[in-house]
Amino acid sequence: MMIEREQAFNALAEQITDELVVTGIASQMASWYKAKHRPENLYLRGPMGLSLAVGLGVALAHPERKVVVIEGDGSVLMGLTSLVAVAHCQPKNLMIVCMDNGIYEEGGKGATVNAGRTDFVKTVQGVGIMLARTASDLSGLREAIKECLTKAECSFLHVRIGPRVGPIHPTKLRSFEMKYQFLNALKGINQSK
Amino acid sequence: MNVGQRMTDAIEKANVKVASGVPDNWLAPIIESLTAAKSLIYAPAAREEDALGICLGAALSGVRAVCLMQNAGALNTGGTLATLGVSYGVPIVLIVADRGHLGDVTIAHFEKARAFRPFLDALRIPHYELTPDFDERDQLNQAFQMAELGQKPVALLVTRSVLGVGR
Repeated sequence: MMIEREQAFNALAEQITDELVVTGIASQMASWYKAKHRPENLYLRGPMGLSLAVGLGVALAHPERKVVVIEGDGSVLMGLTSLVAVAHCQPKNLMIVCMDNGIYEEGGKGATVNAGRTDFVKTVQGVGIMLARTASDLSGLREAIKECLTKAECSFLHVRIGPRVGPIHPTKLRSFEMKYQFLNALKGINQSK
Repeated sequence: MNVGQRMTDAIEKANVKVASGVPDNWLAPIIESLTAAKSLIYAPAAREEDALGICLGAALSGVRAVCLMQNAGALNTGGTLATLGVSYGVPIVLIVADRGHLGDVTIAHFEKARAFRPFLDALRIPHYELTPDFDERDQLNQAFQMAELGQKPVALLVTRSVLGVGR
């Protein structure tokens, strides 16, 4: 059982209010940009696998804000060692969402390493992030998002999703624009003025 | 006062709020002091790219961050420095143990020293050797001023002379 990709991102978008969001590269950035583009998003164009560490840095710098990292399964696997740093710090304001479609969506669509056999929840709990959930249907996903967003505890949410349907919707923002948009949002600068 | 505490004092004086790194023999005393520091968070990382990611995330959200690693580990971070550090223009300061130069007679370090500074040059990342009186000269703060002025990472290189004879 799995959730259609766009539905999964929209379910997350429905519950995101003032949280800071860090997205992984390619599909995650494009899907989140389409679902909920806003200045409080930090989009990463690269490198693959580093958004967990970057999100941890944001969370440590801003303990007063909830930080949500949206990443794909291939990138989480690439950045597994970041989970150890997250577990060490146990930031109460960090939530990691792993959108698992079992393939390298923008990397040729081949299967991710050990696809379907790696138990993400057990892996994450094994390094010490105990609030770890998995969701493979929409109602379960909505409940898990709510739990992870509201609990003052470092959390990891594994979401089983399908492959992308249709073309990718790339953001046209340049890297420097992405940086300043996020920095200005944190400083409370209204960019529409 | 030992060099680790002096470096930590200089880092705190530069208003750094987040630090991360991976230790080597030279950096361990600094990391030990940073871990005990009250005005910043030191987040230990299992590998250098994670440490760099933590610091980049902190800097991208508006606080000063320093990242400590050996030159071998820094060489592992080329993709991250290029695609995020330089491409986004993130003003962090790297403190790198530049191993393998004259007097640092361990065969494992030799080729790292040959590769490291050309690697930074290729990425157009400014790099400066810290001097033994780095704190009196306010070199940490100056490095942040350079990083913020140029909107890019700056590397400070730790050599034997900074740490004193016998290390």
